[in-house]
Amino acid sequence: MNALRKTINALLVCAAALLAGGCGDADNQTPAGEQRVVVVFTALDRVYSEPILERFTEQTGIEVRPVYDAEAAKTTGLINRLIARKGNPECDVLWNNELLQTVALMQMGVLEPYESPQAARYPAHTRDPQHRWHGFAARLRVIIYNTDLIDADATPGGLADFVKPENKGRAAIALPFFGTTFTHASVLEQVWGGDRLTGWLNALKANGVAIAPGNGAVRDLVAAGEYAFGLTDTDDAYNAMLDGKPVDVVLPDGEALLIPNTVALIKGAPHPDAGRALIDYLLSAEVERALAAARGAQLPLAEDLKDTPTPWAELMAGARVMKYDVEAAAAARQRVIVLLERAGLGR
Amino acid sequence: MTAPLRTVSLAARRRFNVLGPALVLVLMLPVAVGVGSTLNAEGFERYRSTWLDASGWSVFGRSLGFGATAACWALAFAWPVAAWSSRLGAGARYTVLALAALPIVLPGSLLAVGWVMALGRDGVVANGLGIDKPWLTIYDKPVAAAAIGLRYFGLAALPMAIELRRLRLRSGFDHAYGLPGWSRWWWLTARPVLPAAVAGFVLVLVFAINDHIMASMFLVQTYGTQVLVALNAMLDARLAMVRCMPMVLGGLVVSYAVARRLRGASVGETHVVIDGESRGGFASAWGALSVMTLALGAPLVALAVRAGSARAVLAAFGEVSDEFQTTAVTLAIAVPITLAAGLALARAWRSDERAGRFALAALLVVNLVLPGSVLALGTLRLFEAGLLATWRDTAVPLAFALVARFTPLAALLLFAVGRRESATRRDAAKAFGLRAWAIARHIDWPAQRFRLAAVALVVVLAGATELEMAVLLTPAGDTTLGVRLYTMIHTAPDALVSAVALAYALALAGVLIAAGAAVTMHRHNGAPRG
Repeated sequence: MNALRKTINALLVCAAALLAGGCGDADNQTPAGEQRVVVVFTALDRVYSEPILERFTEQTGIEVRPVYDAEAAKTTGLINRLIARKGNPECDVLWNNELLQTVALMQMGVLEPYESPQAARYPAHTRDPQHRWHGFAARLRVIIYNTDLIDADATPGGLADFVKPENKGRAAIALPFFGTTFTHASVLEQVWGGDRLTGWLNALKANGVAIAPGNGAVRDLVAAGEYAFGLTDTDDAYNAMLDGKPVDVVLPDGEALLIPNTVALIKGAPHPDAGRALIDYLLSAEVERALAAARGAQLPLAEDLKDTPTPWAELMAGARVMKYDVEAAAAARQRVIVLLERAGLGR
Repeated sequence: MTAPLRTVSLAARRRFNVLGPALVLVLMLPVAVGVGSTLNAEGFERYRSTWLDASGWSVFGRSLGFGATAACWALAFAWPVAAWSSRLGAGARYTVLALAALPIVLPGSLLAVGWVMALGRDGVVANGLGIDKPWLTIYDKPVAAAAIGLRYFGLAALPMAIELRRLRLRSGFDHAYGLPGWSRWWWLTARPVLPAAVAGFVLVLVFAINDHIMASMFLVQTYGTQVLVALNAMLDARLAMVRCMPMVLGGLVVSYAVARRLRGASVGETHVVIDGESRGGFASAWGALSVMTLALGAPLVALAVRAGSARAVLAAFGEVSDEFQTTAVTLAIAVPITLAAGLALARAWRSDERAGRFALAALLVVNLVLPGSVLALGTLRLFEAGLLATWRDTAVPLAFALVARFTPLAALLLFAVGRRESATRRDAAKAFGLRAWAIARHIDWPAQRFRLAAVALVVVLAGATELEMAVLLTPAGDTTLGVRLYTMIHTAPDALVSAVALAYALALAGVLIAAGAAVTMHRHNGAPRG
């Protein structure tokens, strides 16, 4: 029995050493002390973010260890992981695909200021004045409609169309607690006020608006003809258009709600230098151009890339860009969620 | 001879009572951390605002109704499969039951896509029948519940099949008493299977209530969505825990009731092995094959259509090879521990039940009913400090969470499978002074190996595509199969996603069928029966 016990103990020690050995920071630095590993949490779809991270490794020799989110399952788990490990962060850089949760993390003290040299290329409203986050490459909120079900001269023009009696049971939106739909709801709460938003949400429910699990699902429902129109993002809509589905898009009420990607350094990051290098790269013109050329067709925000061709030039021509106070919207998060829960959408 | 045996038996019970509670305590640590976080002023405020508000109960009640509908469908689907499999040899039986569990491991989103393609307003069925506006589609709640029942019916089929198999071994009784048809069916088949059916019903109910992925694609929001909103939208782990409490308490009460019921059913039974004739065999086989075709065939055909070609399916294996490796390593750590802990807990449970004591192991069902993300957050906090922090950035936290999550499942299954197992041989071996290792090798292993293999398969199937814990706990730079599949669903081309899922399903089905064939051959060669 003693021999058996000794063997088991030895195996346990070996396993522990083996497992623990992979995370020693000594392996992650060059002899000169340069960090050659960076851990990035990214909520942008892997199909778009992976090639960019691979190019960063090719150019700098810094190995990227990404953690991807599973957006399709609505497990925005990366944010929870960052909060849970606030005291002992494993992550260096957060690359989020939207804005409000990043700002919420900033308000929780999870982010570290970093003034990237690339930041000067962007308009002031796309970044935190204290450089705790930077925005780049944005998506637009759009109304997607099925061209087989809706004539070109009768397209839905705005959010009011979702609650018109003649459209009862014909429209869909994503579950509004997450992602860009939540950002949209938060902005509406700021622009319209709580009472008007509550009224609209109640009218949505009364009008039988379907609540889909995500913007991709809204696109699929509309493309399949299950619903005539819905609210989604440009990257989802553009994928359907490229695949030849019978859909087209309009801006709701002619107003463009831009939702940028955001990037931020994590406070107490284990590889801060490598993290800063990655942030510089993500804010570079190369990355914005790559994201614009990808199937997501994201809009570059840098001043020097304004003329970059995207499929949305016609849509944006003459459109007014919605202005909103980002920090106030993030701070109102709990209030907006309570309001959304009271509306009881999708139950 | 009686006195020494009794003495040894009691000693064994004492030892199990130490091991059982110790395992329960360790495995419940993540939950304890979560519950502990609600036991303060902030937590009480959340209890008050959640459960003193009628809308909280209303949402829970509606979700319960939907989950119960899905569980009823699952029982209806499970019955013919359980009945048919109970008539088969061991290898075929395990294969059928494992195939019944296969829909659980296919990503819910893909299954949902398959059902939408089949039963949408413009689906294959409506088009095939030439109906412009079908009066029932997958977006109608009863149909959605049926599709979810078809995903989880394997969970109900397993305990029912075990019970029916036991009953078949004494099928001579119904000849002896000559009971009339329905009465005979009720008293000799349905009634004794009822506890197992209840256990299956509860398992499916819990999974259906927590399934926010598949249900939401049918435009139904379950209670799992409410927990998700608290956790991932409000970023409020305390509120998520508070919202989980009905599931926690309900799960505890029901699991304990089922445990008591199982105990009652097992007392005083006599097993007479008589080869009964195969009455009803054709009907049950036909029913089972229909259910299996519906549950597996419909989504697989949809996936095959979307995948496009056999070459795409083969290429898909390479697409997820890294993720497969990460998942395999994690499961290689987690599954043996899960089985060992499950076996110990099942024994402790049986021992407690036979002695009329409270079965502490039943408490562990909490880990099964909680959303995975809540369990993962507790695990993250556990590995934040002290000795455990050494393993913080390794595969160990995820493996630990998987063990905590699936040990109750393993314990429940092993408890159900082995609850009539006689302790005489073990007690006799102890009386003759055999050491624990020798007893495990010569008595336990021959008797348990096929059961353990079957339960291991269930745990592997459940763990391989686990998503919520993997997102929170997988080390940076690695991705598990579950996360990879889910991230691909809305982003990768349809054909690739379908090909990956199809390749995965076919590989698993191949393994299951091969395992079944191996068991059959082994038994035909005269190996001892497990």
